[in-house]
Amino acid sequence: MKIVLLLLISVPIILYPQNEITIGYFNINSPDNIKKFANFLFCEKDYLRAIFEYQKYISIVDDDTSAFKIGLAYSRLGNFQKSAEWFKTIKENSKLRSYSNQEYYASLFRNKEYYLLKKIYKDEKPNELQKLYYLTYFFTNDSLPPIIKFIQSFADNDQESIENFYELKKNPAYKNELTAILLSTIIPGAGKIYLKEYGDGIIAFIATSLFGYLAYSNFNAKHNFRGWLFSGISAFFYGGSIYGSASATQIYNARIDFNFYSRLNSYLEEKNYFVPEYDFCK
Amino acid sequence: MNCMMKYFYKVIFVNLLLCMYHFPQTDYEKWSKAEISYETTSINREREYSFKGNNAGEVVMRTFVNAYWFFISDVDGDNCPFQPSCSSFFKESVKMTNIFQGTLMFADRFTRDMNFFDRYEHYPRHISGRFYDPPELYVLDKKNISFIPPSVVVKDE
Repeated sequence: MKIVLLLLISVPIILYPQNEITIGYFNINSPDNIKKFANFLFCEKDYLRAIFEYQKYISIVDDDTSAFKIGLAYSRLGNFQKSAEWFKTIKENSKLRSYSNQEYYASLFRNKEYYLLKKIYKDEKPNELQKLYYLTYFFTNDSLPPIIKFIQSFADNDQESIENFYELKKNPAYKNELTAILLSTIIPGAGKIYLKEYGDGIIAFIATSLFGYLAYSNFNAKHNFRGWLFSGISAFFYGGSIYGSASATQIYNARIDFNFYSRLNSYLEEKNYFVPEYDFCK
Repeated sequence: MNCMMKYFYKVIFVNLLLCMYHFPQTDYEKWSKAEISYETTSINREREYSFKGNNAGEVVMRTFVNAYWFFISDVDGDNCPFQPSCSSFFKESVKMTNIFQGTLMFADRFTRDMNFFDRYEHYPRHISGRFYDPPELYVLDKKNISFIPPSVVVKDE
């Protein structure tokens, strides 16, 4: 048994020693091996190192697929400026040109360059950009185009969601600041109740009315100092309630915007910004 | 052959010894007693008890806040559920706006402080465990409002 073990260890050592011939055979710096390694890193989602290896490969061999993958890697790392730069390098006659155009526009979109996208669409009218062009309206304050024109560029199964977002953008469920102020002026805390902040509204009403009552009863009992003191405290809460209704309306509206953009961004991420997904790692 | 095997075992044994000698466990710190400080940081130490202000309103406000800190808050302890605390909120509000608007902002904060309901659904949490409610949200400047959802834990002010 011991002899067998000894043989098992020693025979491979004799048969497969590392020598210059084998090192030459597995030349890790050959273009093919660099590309293989880069592809491996890309599929392992080690994008930073994959970019480095692809760049090394491109410096030896002119390859659009590798340049495209560098763009994708940058996009997946969230560096949309760099990804746009790489997608733009894909040549006109490349089979990836149409895909790279779509990725280029998506990168600009994700980099929030909405006005640049609008300009490109108006100047060149590329088909790949149509959907993203309309979506830019959700992120700018420009007036929305008619709904029919807006949704016709999207597939039937997307139209309902896009229409919902269109309605939310056109008629957001904002609350009116002036209404909240007026309500709190008439009944302390009513403005907060209008903003669905019931607890704050009730507390403001109780605080103002309680100290108001204390002031009234003290004035009636000829305790003028205490009367004025409680009047001051009541006025403090009353003023706070009116001011708070105004500021709470702004926060309420900011929450509406936040929720809208969170939902919209999740939807666009799910749809991959209407760019077909490429699986290079099958 | 037996002799050869003995020699082979000796080589393995020496190798093992060498490995143990060269690569001993060095992470003793992992098992040693940890020096942890259980002292809580006191906000009193971060407070600036000065009367300096850019205008008369700020000086008046600082007088009130310092008196509150010195006679009540420092003795009573760190009890405000918000970050920044109500007195610091008042101080910052007046600094950011003026004595009149700052007082109204403080009155609103004080009212909200008395409300024990729905706080968890309303305010994000600060890393200290308090509810994060900075004065920038209340200066009536829409550009300053960056909504933070309640699920977020804010690390720095």
